[in-house]
Amino acid sequence: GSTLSYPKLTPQQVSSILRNNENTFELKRGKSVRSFDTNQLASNDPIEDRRSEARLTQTDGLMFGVFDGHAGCACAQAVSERLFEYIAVSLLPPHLLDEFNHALKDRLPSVNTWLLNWYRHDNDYFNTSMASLYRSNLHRYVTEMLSTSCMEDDHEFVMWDALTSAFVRLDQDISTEAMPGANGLVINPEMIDIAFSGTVACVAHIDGPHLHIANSGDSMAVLGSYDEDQNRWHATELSKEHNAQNLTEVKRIKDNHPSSESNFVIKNDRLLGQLAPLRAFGDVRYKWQHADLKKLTMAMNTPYAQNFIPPNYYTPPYLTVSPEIKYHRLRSQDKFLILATDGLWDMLSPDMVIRLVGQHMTGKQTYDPYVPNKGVKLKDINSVLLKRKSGIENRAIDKNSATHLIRNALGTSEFGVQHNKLSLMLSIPQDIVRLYRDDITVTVIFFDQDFLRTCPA
Amino acid sequence: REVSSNDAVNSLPSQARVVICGGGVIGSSIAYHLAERGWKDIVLLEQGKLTCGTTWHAAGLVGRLKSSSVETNIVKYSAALYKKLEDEGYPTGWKECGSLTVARTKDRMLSYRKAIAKAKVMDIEIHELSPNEVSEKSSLVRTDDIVGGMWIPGDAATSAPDVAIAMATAAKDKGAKIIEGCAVEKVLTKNNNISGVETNLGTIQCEYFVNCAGQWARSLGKKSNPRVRVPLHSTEHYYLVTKPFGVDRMTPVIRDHDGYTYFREWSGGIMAGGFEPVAKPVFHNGIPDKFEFGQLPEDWDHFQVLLEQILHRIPSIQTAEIRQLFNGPESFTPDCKYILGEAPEINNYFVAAGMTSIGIASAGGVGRHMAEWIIDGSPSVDLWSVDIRRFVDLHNNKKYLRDRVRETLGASFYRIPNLPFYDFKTARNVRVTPVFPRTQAAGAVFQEVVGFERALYFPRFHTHWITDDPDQDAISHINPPGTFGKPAYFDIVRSEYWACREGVCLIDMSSFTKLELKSAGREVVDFLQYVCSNDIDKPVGSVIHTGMQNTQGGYENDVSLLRTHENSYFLICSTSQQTRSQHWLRKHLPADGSVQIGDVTSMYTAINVIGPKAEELLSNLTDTNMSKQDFSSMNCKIISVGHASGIRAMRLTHSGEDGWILYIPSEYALHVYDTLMAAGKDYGIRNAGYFALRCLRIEKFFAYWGQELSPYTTPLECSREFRVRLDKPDFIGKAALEQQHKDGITKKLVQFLVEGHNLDNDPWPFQGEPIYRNGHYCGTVTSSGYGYTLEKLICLGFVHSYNQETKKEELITNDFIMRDAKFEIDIAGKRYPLKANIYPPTLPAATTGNVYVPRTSSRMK
Repeated sequence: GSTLSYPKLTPQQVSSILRNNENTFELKRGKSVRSFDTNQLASNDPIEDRRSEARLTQTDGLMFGVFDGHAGCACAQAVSERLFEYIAVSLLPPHLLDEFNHALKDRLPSVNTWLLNWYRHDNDYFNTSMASLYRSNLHRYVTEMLSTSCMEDDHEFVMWDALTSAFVRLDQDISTEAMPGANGLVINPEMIDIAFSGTVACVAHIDGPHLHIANSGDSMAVLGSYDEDQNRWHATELSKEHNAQNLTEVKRIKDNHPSSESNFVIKNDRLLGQLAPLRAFGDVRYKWQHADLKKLTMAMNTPYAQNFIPPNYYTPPYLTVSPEIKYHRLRSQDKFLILATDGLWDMLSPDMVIRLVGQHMTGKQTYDPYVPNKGVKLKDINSVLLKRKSGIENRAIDKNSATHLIRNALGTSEFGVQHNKLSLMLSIPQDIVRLYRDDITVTVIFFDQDFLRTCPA
Repeated sequence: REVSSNDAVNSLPSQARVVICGGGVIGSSIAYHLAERGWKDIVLLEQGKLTCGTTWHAAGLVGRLKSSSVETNIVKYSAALYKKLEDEGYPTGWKECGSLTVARTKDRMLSYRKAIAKAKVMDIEIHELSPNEVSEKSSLVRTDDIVGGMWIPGDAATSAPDVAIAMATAAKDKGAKIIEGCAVEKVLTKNNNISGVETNLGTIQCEYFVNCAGQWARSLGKKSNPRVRVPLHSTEHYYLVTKPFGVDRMTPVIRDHDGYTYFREWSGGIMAGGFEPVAKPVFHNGIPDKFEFGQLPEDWDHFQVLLEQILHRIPSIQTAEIRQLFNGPESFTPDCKYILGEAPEINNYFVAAGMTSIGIASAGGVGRHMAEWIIDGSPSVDLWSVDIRRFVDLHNNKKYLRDRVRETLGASFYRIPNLPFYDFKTARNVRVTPVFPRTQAAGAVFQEVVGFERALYFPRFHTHWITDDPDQDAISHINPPGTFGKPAYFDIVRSEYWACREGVCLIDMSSFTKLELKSAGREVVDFLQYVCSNDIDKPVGSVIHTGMQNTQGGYENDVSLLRTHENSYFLICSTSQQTRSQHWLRKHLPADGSVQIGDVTSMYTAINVIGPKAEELLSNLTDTNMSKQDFSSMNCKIISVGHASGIRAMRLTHSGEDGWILYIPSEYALHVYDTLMAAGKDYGIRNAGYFALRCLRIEKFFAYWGQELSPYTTPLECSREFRVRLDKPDFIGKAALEQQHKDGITKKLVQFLVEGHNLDNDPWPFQGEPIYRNGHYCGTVTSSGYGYTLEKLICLGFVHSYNQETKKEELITNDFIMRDAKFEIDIAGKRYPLKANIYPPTLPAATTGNVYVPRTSSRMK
């Protein structure tokens, strides 16, 4: 295309595009999370990223997830709707699991909010046509869990196992729902879309000071901490990207297959030369047996059936959804957690992201007017005000820190954020935009310092 | 605090002589003074309750020493009035605790010394204090970082709402009606005169209307046809009040100008407020309805810059507790001066607003002068610096105001008064001439005059003080910060001065006001003969210098008139006169509409081609014969310069030097400028600025309008009788001038050369310095500059003869000035001898090619 010598978009247009999907939730005081910001910017049309946030009604924890879909958005959409339910039931103690089982059985109207309270953006949607199928498969999971827990008297809850089993079970259900024969060879095209597309997932579960990250694929969770002594922001990666740059991951895959395949199993930095993330939901083309894939190809008459089976497909499954899980106990220096899809990490380093949000946060604190406490001395008021000064200087034009990150990711040049560059990045024609930027999803979760400072062990 | 008059009348009369809109301290004072002067039928309308706008939350300080003598005189009168009212049983909360002012820098202290010298002749008792003496006056004040201070015993603190209620009650007792809950909806006019006011309670007919609606004044100005310009904008304004901590009731009011803060005792604690360097404008999109006794949410972060200084100056506040941080709106004007006088848009529409947070202190004097203005047609003293007619449309632009008041709030207090050539930094480069890009590229230092950027001088190199150093925000960048002495541009101006006197220079004079007056027949000639004191019925092509006098013979304007055709004139007067000159002319225009006036200021670019080589340079560029024989001075011809035609070239320079002012249709201006610059290369042409012009004219004893010439000075008092034709038929002011011609004068403009002054080490005079004759005060300096030929500092000023007993002015003669008179000037407390001239000195003319003139004065150092 021609180079633009003038900005095509006005500053107002840029801001309205950047802010179209932004959302901020302030949570009730007295918990470890004070608030969170989310935002998404599409590159694909429609966007293939999804995100979810919810409060667990029965256990009081919070869950946040980002889901970067590929080969369409169907799988990401399904996982964004279903994964938290699978995790939530995995966390339920037997008596609550039983209670939920009854609620499901009796189709109580309250069943929708019995497990989860969602935080929603106006642009979010549920796939209502699948709801009853999703519900019945969840129900089956619940009853199976009930029977297992009944058999094991000394059942002890392990978070690792719960998260892993939720991931794996949902992926199995997605797979089974698409299998020909499961419904008497009636092929449901929506199910096929879901199972043959894929999504990575990065999920945070936070309850009090306990933070778990379950990650499968190449999204990433990074913790932002502030070191008071050194007056510095510090970035801690709480997940590893599962892609070809991750040598441990490459080794894991190669070890799972005969050495004869080691030249093909990861090729051109991709699984079987095709798939970039090395763990994912869906993508049954890398999971099913050769015969099952063949069977489906015959039953279907789709244009893409030709290249259905990847080359060198000898010892499936090649792909797993099993997440890597990391635990972190939150400390008072931990200020926020960022979950983002690789669209962001392609453009900004974790250190840069943490610095940007750190500055934004000190600026944001000053949006609330200062009100001195009763009886405080004027000199003490002055020292608080002096501290706020640096925050005021850092005030960004976007109140939402996720928007602030996306603006910086797109607009940063050697002269700082430039309108010209933002305009250019946001007006690239749809047919080539994916060459310049990926879908971006960012969730920034802010912790409550007062809670973390005083919470019991 | 609930403040209200207890027995307000609530029915609106159908008619009044004068309707005052605004029941704050200003409206109350105007009602009081009109009633005091014996006027009846005064109706004051207040949309809420008395004092509910901004008066109720004012700090109530009455400090008489202000940044100019106009304001000082006004506050001085207020102080005396509030004391008197208190004595007469109208309580004002008068507490004569005195005021204590500290200086952190030598420059600040020097500015106090200048102020003390001026205050002395205004009968205000002021004492200079050492840091130790400051401690003795108040142990609260930290003194280890100050160089000194001032003690003003008669200063006071009052209760702001009480002051307003006292004047309102006194006005009511004298028959004025006060109606609360009455909002003005429309101001009615008939033939451009006030005819009445529409309110929520009905319509009232009236002859006079006074807009003293405070921060509402600008929007009230829009409620008439035509609209009235009242350029002001609200800002947040803060003070805090501490809980009591044993502060003595008679603690003086303390001011720390370098720390932008002031303090007064408040119920055993301290009230501390201030004027931060960067203010926070508010109500840009209108003031909320029912903002009665309203206050703004406090922004501690914004207040911090003041809190820091408060805790610094009075350390005992550090451990005090806060009772309240108060944030109330105050309105400020583009130049931080009041807006007073008759609106140029509508006859008998008066404005008194824009009190820039000194409303309580000013109200008494403002009310008195407004009453004079309404009753007598003009105030008793020169109020030009605060006159509403100093503004043009630009000033009323809301965004301009919003940007400018950020700066004016702080400047009102922090800025060192009497600092020569202070200039604002915000809202600049709004009004520029076509050659601005050239003069800017040439490195000019500009000053804003009525919005215009005017080049003052052209440094050869970028000098260090012309920076955007944020630490010098409130200080002029025209001169190095804080200097009262020899300016850093001294040598630069010298070179421009000599280039004007010996070579040829270009000075962009486009900011001058330009009007065209014409009629079908001779009406315009008759009209101008009536409003001008000189004979203007001269041949087409003549330029006439003339004054326009008022009925007392004083100057309303001083103009150059070019007769362009039999029945049309081109009028040039000073930049600051753009609004006022038209107001004066329109007031006297024939009622039949036979004479038309058009403002053509923006149509012409004026370039002053000044210097003895101008004639030869221009001869190269035009076909017109420019020689003295063919083109004598005070004449105008239409010439071409380069490829541009239709240029009005007048042989005059407003400086006494030879040369032309070219009035160029603006689309040709850049071509003409470039042509002159290119052709002038071999003539040593260069740009020059207003400072060079100023030095030239002061040395040659040229009086300028606004400095020497004012409504209160006559041509006879300025040795300008030669420009008055008492033998022509009646003109405005003729009778007064004839009378003065017969009786003699009581003051005379004199040029003084300052002797015994060390240019490098002594502070320089600027304006307002007192002049003494044989030890007695006789007048003040109106303008000053350096005479590069005479090699002396030169001051112009009026000499009066005050009777030592009666303090009344007596008649003076030339002998009073020239015989047995020893003159001295007081510059910041030190006196220097003066040499007086009543005629312009003869300066050696510069050599012009074929004329030999011997030089009598060495000029180069």
